[in-house]
Amino acid sequence: MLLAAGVIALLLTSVLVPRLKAADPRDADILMQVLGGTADLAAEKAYQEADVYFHGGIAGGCPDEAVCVHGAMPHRGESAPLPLARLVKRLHGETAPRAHRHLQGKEEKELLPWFVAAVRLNPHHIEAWRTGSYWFYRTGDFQRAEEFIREGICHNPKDYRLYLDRGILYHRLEKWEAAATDLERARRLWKNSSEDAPYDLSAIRTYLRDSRERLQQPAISR
Amino acid sequence: MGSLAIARLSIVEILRRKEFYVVLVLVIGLAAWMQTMNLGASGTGRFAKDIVMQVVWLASFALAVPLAARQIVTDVEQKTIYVLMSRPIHRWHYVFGRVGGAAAASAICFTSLFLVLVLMLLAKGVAGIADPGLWQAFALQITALVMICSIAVFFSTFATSAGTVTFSLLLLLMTRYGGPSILDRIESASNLGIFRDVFWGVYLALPHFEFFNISQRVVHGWGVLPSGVFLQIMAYGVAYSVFVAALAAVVFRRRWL
Amino acid sequence: MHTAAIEAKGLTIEYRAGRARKKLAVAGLSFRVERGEIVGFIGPNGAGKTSAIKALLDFIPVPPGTCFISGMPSGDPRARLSVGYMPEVSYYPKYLTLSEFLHTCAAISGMPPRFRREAVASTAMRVGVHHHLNVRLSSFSKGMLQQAGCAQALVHDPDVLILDEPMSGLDPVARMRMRRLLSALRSDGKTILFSSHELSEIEMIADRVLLLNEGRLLYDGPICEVVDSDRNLEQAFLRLLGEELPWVA
Repeated sequence: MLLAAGVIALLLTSVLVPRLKAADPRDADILMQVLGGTADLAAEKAYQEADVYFHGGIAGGCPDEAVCVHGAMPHRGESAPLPLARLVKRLHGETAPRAHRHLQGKEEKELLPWFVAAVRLNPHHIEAWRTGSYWFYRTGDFQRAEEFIREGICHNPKDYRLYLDRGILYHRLEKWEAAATDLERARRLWKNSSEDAPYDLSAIRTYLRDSRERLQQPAISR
Repeated sequence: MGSLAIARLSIVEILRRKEFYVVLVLVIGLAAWMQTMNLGASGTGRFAKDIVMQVVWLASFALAVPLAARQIVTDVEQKTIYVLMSRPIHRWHYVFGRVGGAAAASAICFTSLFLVLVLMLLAKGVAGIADPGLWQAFALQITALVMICSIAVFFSTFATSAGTVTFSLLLLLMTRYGGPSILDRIESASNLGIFRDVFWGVYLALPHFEFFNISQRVVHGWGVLPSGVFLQIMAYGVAYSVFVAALAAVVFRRRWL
Repeated sequence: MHTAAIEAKGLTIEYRAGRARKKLAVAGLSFRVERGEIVGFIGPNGAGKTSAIKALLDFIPVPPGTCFISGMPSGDPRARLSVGYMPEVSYYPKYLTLSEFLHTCAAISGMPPRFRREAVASTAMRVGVHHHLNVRLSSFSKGMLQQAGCAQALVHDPDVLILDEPMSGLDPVARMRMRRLLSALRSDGKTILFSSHELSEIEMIADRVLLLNEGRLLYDGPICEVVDSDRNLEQAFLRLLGEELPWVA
């Protein structure tokens, strides 16, 4: 009886303790456990797919302006023409979309599932949180935009960029106090860790100053 | 009549094996999940349509290739071919019967999976099923399945089942997803001289499955293929399938059973 | 000119055994099976019986003018219009029921659809498997598969039957039924060439015997002649092969 209890306790411990210790919620997610390291790759692919969708199914946007704008065959240099190459290219051109096009209006909503998928697969994909929140806002779903970026902050509480974007969102929604709070936090968390960081700092200061002015608070010192 | 009776064997086989039903249930589950999951925005149809369409298309290939690959190999290994070839039929009757049977069975599987997609589109309220492009895509995929079945049966006349599946899938994936870029590379390789022509000849001889993949056109609403192009591609698919099946019959003609 | 039901003229079959080596399976084999005869095809393992049968049925391509069925070259599918073949190894499509299997065989043999149902039912009755028509072949025992194999050979009412080890796997009752069936088929005017290791069965049924050893025909003649000086076919078989006769108490 004692031995059986010990075995059961050992089994339960080996299952429960890792779950309790998991700092990263991904470790407790079955989907993440199944995908393993490929989850990050899949998240990036999902994020890129949003851009593909934005361009009507064409990866990389428009590869050749001459083709996209003028519908001309791209110039490939001086090599001799191969037999049937024209026919094959024509069939390629007809079966795969080629022209340059952006989603507009209500169609822009078609991008959103890819951002949701990207952050589901990798909650630390900052750009997916940022871009997704922007597109929720742009399609007019302000509440969802706010919820989306809030969730991103929950998963990434130390990243200034999410506070910056939420601050800008609040600023657009004329929620000056909330905007100021987030922008102040972004300023405190800011690090010069990327090429865009100086521009982000400039944006933080600009929006924060404006938010405070609108709240009739004194401007921050440089 | 002999070829038809042999073809019927393949259809009965796929309907009595479990793989098709497992795939069908998985696709139904996926479509149902797409209906219920919170995709972040209501009314978004492309995401679900794209995912389910890709899964249905790939699943139909995944069912077709092993089915076609094992037809002749299994008959020879298990000696069931003796019962068939002791009848008054040419060997090419048998080969064409196997190709036709595998193609018909694959088409039945694909049509069933496609119906799941159609029902999902109807439930989402998307007017996509009225899109002629969707039905063009259906017809082109059926033709692609006929092509891959004839290719797999051809390989199976001299390779093992596993080798046949591997070669067939390699050809499929290479051309379906890399066809245009292969063409670009060959065209730009002007310094290769005569080898460029050789590579070009090989490229032309490959089965061009990329022509049959218009799913992105359908998902992103690029409209129907011009009818002339559609008919050209269909004719190419049928002609290629018949040619490869004939090659298989020639290879099989002198084979010792 | 009188046409034999089955004829081989100088049949030679060589298999590749390794890179440069060839193995002679059948060497210059010539024989005739006349219409209405039952001929036993006997020989030790590896004698070339199955290879010869495969050549007759065009499973192994042979030069023109070597094998004939009802006067037609074996390479012509029309030669197999009136042939029923029962293979040694009874493997059939497992996912089919017996009825579906027989229907398929009849269809491939060119039988019009309106005759198939009756043909399948009567053949199954004759062979003794009519109770299993709607049972899948995957659940058949070895003996039942043998009977199914016999049924598929008979379903299209062929004139010539080539049976490879028809008694293999059968219990004594089924063997008796098979013997009776073969005798009945001879009464119907069928020609039967069957190979078997059961020499006692051949002795009971066959009119003539062909003895093969190492691809060569050792004996071709009536049963009664070959057992005339020996007690039974087995002893005649061993004598012809040059083995010592077993000591009899």
